[in-house]
Amino acid sequence: MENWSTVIFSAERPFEEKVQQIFEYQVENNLVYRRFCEALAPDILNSGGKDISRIPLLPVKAFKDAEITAKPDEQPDRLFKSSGTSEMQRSIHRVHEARIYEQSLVEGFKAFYNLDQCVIWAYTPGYADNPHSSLIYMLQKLIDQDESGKSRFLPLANPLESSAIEEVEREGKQLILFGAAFGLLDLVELGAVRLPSNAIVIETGGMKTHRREMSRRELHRRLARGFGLDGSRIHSEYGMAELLSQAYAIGGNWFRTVPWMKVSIRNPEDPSETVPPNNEGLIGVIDLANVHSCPFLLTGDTGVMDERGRFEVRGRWNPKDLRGCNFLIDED
Amino acid sequence: MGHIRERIDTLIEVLNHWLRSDNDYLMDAIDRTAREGYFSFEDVKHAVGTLKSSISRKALHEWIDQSGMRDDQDATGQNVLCLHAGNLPLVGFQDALATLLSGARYTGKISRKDPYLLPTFLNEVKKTRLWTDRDVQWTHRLDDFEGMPHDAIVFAGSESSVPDVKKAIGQYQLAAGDVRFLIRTAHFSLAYLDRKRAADMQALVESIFRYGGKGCRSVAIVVSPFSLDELKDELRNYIKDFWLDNPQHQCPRPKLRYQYAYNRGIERSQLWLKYFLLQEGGLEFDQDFTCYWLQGDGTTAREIADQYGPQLQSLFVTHPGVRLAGMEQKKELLSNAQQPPISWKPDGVDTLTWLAEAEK
Repeated sequence: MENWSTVIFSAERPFEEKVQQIFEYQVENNLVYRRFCEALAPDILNSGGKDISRIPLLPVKAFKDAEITAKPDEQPDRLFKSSGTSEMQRSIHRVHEARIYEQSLVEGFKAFYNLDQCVIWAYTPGYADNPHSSLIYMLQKLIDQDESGKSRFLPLANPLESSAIEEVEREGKQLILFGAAFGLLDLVELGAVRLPSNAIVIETGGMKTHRREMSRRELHRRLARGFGLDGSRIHSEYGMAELLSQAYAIGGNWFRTVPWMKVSIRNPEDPSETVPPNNEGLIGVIDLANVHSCPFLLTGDTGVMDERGRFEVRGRWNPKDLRGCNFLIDED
Repeated sequence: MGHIRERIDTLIEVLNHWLRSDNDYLMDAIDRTAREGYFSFEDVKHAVGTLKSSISRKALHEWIDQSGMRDDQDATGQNVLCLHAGNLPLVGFQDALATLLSGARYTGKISRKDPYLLPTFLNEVKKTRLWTDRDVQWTHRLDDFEGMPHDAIVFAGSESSVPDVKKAIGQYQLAAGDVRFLIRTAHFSLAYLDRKRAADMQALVESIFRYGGKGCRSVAIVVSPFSLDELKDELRNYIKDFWLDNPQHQCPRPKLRYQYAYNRGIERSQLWLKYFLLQEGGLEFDQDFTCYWLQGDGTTAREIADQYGPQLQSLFVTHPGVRLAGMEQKKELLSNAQQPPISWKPDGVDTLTWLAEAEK
């Protein structure tokens, strides 16, 4: 049996080579993905995914509509479900070899932050009632890495305590406050607290309290002001239940990925086509940590990529009303 | 602009002349429309043919009666601006005709996507004794009307397009202080197929595929006790016949093939026709050339109609005996989907009634 962990996280093997191997594994074992490829681009099956830009990206909604797995006969180690009400159709991510996810999230975090030197406080209102939340699982794993016991989930609806902050400072650790975007705003509103100047706030982009609508720039501005931090200390994480790796934006709006994850921006009218830098399109992801579900995904998010391979998330793909009479100033 | 009877008589005369096959202006407009790729010749022919068969003196009188318009309760003296969409050939014709019948002065912004057809009719109207150049004005550019205030403005829009349209109206000062807006928002229709007689199947295919499915009367959802799999082969034959006579004018974007491949991946029932996709469930409305099929009964049809509310134009049924409680207003015969009577009510509103409601 293949040791996928060594394949995915190998620093020696080129990304393309790993992709090719995992593509072959997927086509052989993931029935949904194989049927999708056969219908969309049968020739790619013969070429074995040599040109990774041509590898078909499965729409992420497939996690809602079908069982996405390369191990259909085995019970998954974990089940992650996207958040939503019980009436909503939710994505279900069946995770086999959960240790790959754990390695991905911990190593991924370490690629951006000094995990050994930080204390993580997680604030996640709205997620607490989802026992299958991948975000909660991820934060718990990061918290578990801290042997000092200072890292923890913050109690909901309680303001930050200055004494606890001072304690983290006294120990010479860096405080990382990690949470759903609007939950963090709620925390600000609960009581103004100045975080140490080296603290970092990471927002996950979640809108779980459904109270407000604002741009990411405005959100960062408010968080910086609320926590008394420089704007560069407000970071973002890009992740979802369907992905087992995360991307981070370290100050500003541009996300970078970990080495086993690559993002491309796709033409919404023809998702097999990659759009040039600075053009908006759908965010496509190759996440090798998804080896047993599906690593080749087309998200429902829009974004742009710069010449350096960083990407920005612009929002949800929301095509304009297509049918029927509709007087459009620009077209009619 | 005379009394209602006079307007009807004059318009019937105009229409009879306009729709004659030796009217070189209309024939030339049809030819250019097809040649320059705006619509297929077959779709234009169908649109013109539908007007020909639905308009008569009797039909116009019935429309007037239905609307409640009277000589002392019409839109005489009003200035009405019609912003015509161009998704189908002559899609704005009913609004133009209603405005003229109402006695109002007509200002029309003709769509750049259907630039030739409607002007040939309007130009004929301007030649009559009843309507002068001042009473009937049209252009392809909205800013040509800058500074002309209107008492009523009619257009079809959506949540995303209405703000832009209203902004442009303000920018060009096209609205009088107490302007009234008639904004249509319905985008598609639903068919309840309770039986599968040949005529019903043909009507269903016409309702889905005519104009490439782009009209608000085009059926985008079918509810039927039969599954798509059960009817797939039969449907394919009817579609083939329809396309032989009416080749689809526009090609879908490659993302439609993506959806087909996705459906294959998740094993969703579908009928893939390369230029069009019918699929069971998965209602997303995120692309053209797609019709959704739901297996269910009349209750399902009603529930779906309720769910889509104002987005839904009509609920088509195979025969008048089909009962769908609470849906009588939206219920129409499937065979009329693409050939509505001239008096049909977009979004359930009789345009003539609405125009006549203007306070004098």
